[in-house]
Amino acid sequence: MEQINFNILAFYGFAGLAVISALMILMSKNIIHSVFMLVLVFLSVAAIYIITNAEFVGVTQIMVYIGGILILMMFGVMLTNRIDGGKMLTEHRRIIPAVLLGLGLAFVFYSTLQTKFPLAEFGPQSELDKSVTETIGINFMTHQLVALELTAVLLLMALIGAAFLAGSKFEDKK
Amino acid sequence: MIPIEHYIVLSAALLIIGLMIIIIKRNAIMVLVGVELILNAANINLVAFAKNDPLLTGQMMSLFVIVIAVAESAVALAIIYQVYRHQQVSNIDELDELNG
Repeated sequence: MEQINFNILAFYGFAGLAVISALMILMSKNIIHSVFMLVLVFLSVAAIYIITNAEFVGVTQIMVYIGGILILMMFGVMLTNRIDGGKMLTEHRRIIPAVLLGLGLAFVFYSTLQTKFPLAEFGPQSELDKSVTETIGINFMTHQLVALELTAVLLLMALIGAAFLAGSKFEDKK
Repeated sequence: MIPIEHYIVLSAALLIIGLMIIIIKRNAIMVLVGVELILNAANINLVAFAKNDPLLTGQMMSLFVIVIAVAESAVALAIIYQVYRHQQVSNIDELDELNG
């Protein structure tokens, strides 16, 4: 009983942390602050995955997003802004349409959730005979093998494409 | 036991915030941040619905989504860097010439 209470408490804590950090990204004009707030969002979402019986996805989230994408983004921020000792700021535009769109979308989701959600009634949690990571590994090597290989090819293409785009000097035709 | 609706509410909140970031921010990298938030919102739904699934189909799907997000992010950052090197702008409103 104690364990379950702690899980529920942790879920709402991390959900609130994720939403508040995302709102701070939205409000903040400082790009560096926004990218560091993104770390908090990704960490909270990883914690939510782990609470939701998906340890492997949570660890993948931490390794790939926080270890990979955020470092890439910091490099991108440093390379595409003038470094002159001042703060790196971004301006805001079209605030009123964005707020209106957000409110409209929130209303759409709210009215959808008012009806009884047909998939909401799950049975009791079925016990896995293997651990989650084991099941994922077996699935990758059996049912999802084609998708796994295609993903590998796609990653290779993205790697070569990104290296080519960022590394090559195109001729200036002007 | 956390009800599934709460996962959906969290996911919807992250999606709305990500969409507003894409519209409001002027810097190209912040637009990329919004896209990553939206992908994370989709992943939360996949993982939440796979909670009671013994085959873990949703978790497999979310792993593929993470991989696609990485590839997309790397290529997008390379394009942003190349555009900055050519035109010295990183604000998407000031990008008005596409004749590389």
